[in-house]
Amino acid sequence: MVGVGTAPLRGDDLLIRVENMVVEFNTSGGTVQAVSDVSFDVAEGETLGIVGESGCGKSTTAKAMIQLPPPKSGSVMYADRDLTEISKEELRRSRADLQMIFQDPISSLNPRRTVWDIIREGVDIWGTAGVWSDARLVELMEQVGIDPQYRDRKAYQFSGGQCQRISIARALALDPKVLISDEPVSALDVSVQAQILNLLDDLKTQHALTMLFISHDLAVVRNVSDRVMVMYLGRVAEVGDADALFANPAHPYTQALLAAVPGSGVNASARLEGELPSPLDPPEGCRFHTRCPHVTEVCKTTVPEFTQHGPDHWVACHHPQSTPVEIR
Amino acid sequence: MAPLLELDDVSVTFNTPKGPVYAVNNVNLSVERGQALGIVGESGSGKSVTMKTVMGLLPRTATIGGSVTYDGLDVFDLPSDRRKHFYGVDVAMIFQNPMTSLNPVKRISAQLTEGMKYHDGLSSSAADDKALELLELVRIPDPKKRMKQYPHELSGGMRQRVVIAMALANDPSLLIADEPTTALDVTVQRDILDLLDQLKAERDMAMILITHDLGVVKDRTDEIAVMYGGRLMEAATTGEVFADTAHPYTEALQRSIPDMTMERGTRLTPIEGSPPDLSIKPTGCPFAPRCGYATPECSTAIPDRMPVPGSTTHVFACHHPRGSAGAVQEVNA
Amino acid sequence: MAEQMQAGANIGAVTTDLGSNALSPPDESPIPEAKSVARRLGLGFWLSVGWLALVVLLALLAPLFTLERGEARANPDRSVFTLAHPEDTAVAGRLDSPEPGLWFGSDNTGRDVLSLTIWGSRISLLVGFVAIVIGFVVGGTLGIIAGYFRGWFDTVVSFLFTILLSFPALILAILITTLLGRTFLWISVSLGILAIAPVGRLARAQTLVFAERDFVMAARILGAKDSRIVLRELLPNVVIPMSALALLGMGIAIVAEGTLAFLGISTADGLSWGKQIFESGSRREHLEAGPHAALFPIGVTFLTVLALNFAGDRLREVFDAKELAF
Repeated sequence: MVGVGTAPLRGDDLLIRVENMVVEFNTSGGTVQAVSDVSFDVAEGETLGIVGESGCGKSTTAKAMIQLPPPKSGSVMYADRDLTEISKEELRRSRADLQMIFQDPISSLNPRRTVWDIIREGVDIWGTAGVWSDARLVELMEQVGIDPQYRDRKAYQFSGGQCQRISIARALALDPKVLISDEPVSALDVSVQAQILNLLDDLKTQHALTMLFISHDLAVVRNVSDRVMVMYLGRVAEVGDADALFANPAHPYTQALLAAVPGSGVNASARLEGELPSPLDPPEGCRFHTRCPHVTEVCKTTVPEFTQHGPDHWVACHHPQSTPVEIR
Repeated sequence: MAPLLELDDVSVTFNTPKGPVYAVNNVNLSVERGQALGIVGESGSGKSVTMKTVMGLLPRTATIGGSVTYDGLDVFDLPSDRRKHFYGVDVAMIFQNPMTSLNPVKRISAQLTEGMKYHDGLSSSAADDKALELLELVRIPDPKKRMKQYPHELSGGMRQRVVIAMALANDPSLLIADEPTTALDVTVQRDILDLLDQLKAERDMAMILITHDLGVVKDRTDEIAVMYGGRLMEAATTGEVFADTAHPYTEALQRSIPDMTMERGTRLTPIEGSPPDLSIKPTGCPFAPRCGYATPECSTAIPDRMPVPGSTTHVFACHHPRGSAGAVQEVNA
Repeated sequence: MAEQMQAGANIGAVTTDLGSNALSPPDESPIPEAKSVARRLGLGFWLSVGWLALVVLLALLAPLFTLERGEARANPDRSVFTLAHPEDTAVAGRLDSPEPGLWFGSDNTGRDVLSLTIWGSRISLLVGFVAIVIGFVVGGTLGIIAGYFRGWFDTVVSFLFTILLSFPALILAILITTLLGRTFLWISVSLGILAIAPVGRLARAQTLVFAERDFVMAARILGAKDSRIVLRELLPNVVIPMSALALLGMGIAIVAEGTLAFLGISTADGLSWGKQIFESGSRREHLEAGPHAALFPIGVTFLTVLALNFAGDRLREVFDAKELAF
């Protein structure tokens, strides 16, 4: 990954359009560029899956999109407004549209508040003037599968899966347009994951949601996403239509990720050498070059631009691979 | 030949202030020398507790029933000198979080050599040589440099390799790995699992791999045991488990997880309901409340463990089995 | 240790997930939360609270059963349920042993030790209470704001706490009381200032922990303002460990007041436990002739501080454990 450039963007009439976003953090070891020049767009009603391993910047990218924290540079167009330009109060007023659920269902819920208070929080902030009466919140609780008779309980009285349902209800109570799901099933029991994935699928239709779905689990991302963006060390490696990208991964990193899916039957020889470089001191050129089986001199010096690999399939690699990965 | 490790009718009950918790109930398992057994289950299935029973790692509040034999010896009744040898020399265990096994303020070399100097009376330089050898064995990059580093300077994958090296120091005959890759990234996970595979083959070591992920054990173990609610649901060779699934829980588990061969947007078949409350003494199959094939019998009678007809290795505990066991049952009825 | 906890998490997983359509109740029988918490706090906690309630009640109601000055001497046959005025000397002999009506005996000036102890508790408890309220309000506010907003304010506040902690406590108390007067108010204030840094540091640390939690992020994403996040999300979480510390701190303040009194710099006006212990326990011949005059206030102080410590500890343990009990 490596890649920079805005070539994969599909026009300027989409719901979300992020251009050249850079996110930096100050750490005791120096400044870390967690997201380097990332551009992507999401059409209304679409689900964009963001995959990558820890430290690739996938969560940071999504959070920076909603300005938590704001990116250092770049623009985030949402519904014809640049979220990085508008005032703090204007941004706060836009928040209802852009909601998020988190990986850790326990950390997501305030242990001292009741389920009802948690779900009602958004309405409490903005008032019931709009569509959200308490009766509709009760309906929403039923929709996510939490019996409203338990509204006065606190989070620790529920299981992880139920806490995730409560989080989802809280996020939907403001009738958002966009839902960011950050590893929403990674912390759940295997037998419960499908319940939550199916619930998200139902709610996406019922509430006409546009989704960003962040996960390290390729099989899950493949199942839910229309488009997929693969990230490595703060940059985008490959982005495109989910079917095209998984059937014909062009970036050596995507290939390695696919090959590593346990028991999936994906048969590829791609194997990563060495360790993930420190984000404090990312490699020059293509950031993946230190571990790439196809590395050449140009990779070490020049950051690859995106090239088109299919109708909606872009790869940022000097040596894109065309051997399809065999999925047994 | 007798199996290397054999668990016979093992039960574990934790006595908590809130009452007993029936964590493991009547579990039978065995591992042959040089073989790999995968124990698959979600949290609360009893998979980790079962192996901690073997390792003597349970708190005093636990009541243990049944027997565990290792190489013909009763593990619960080892003479004290043999006992020392059993834990750490015969059998070693690694955990999900490598930091639980590493001392954060000691260099890697010190962690590796401490036991050798103490137990085997090796000199410092001999111990260092052996430590370096172990690090090479686990294919850690730049092993000489790692010797001088502290755990926090290593990546998660490298830490797990160090822990594996420590576990191998005494050349165990059995390695128990409890979710060894759950905290790691997928590409690192594959490397560690590959490493364990290779080490097992090179050293003719038996291995028990505990995991929540059926995919992890699919291509890597000789046999699989599926646990749920503290009970053994199904045990068989890995091929049999996937080709001729007998237990509805195993079947449901496979269906509920998306895999790479599924079409995008394929509707998953979730397992409705929630894992059982282990503080209630089971009167039937623990999976019955969530099972699509359950009948009233399933909640009142605990199913016996029985073999799949025609197989010597495949057992299950279900009143309404799937696959060939189910077909045979239907014919008989 | 971590492994044990992991094992505990596995076996203790009384998980209760619902199907997407099934609205079945959680498996755990619905125990009203207050009841279970009350039970989990344990007998020791409630004994402590009972003792504290008794001490506070007697302190509050003391005027109701205390006789006027001089009245006790005038009525030798008064009811055993009345108290002599604490400043009445020679209501009994010098260092008389305890007996009915003179439950704690008398001190070397013939004063009623029980009366002294009950009246002394009024100042001692109030000093402890006011001191800790000052620490709680000032330290808590500073700590939470510093922990939430970070930045330069955090740097300044943290530095302030460090200075306060480094300043010799006794010298600060002596300075303030010497300069501003040895009154109940200034003693409370000086002890309160000493409480600011410990309470503030705890509040800051807890705020830092909870501010990292996803529910704070979720509130911000819902559009909550900072004030709402601090008051609704953080405060309820931070206030529990702070309360536990406040109970411990109140015990420390009571002892500190006693120490000041023992050094002879307690309230010039009125009584306190410390002053009483000082008057009865600082002379060897008094201690030898009638140790009860010092031992009773010492015992009461001890039990009160113990009860405060124990209650605070239990409170913290139970509420900490409840977070982990998932």
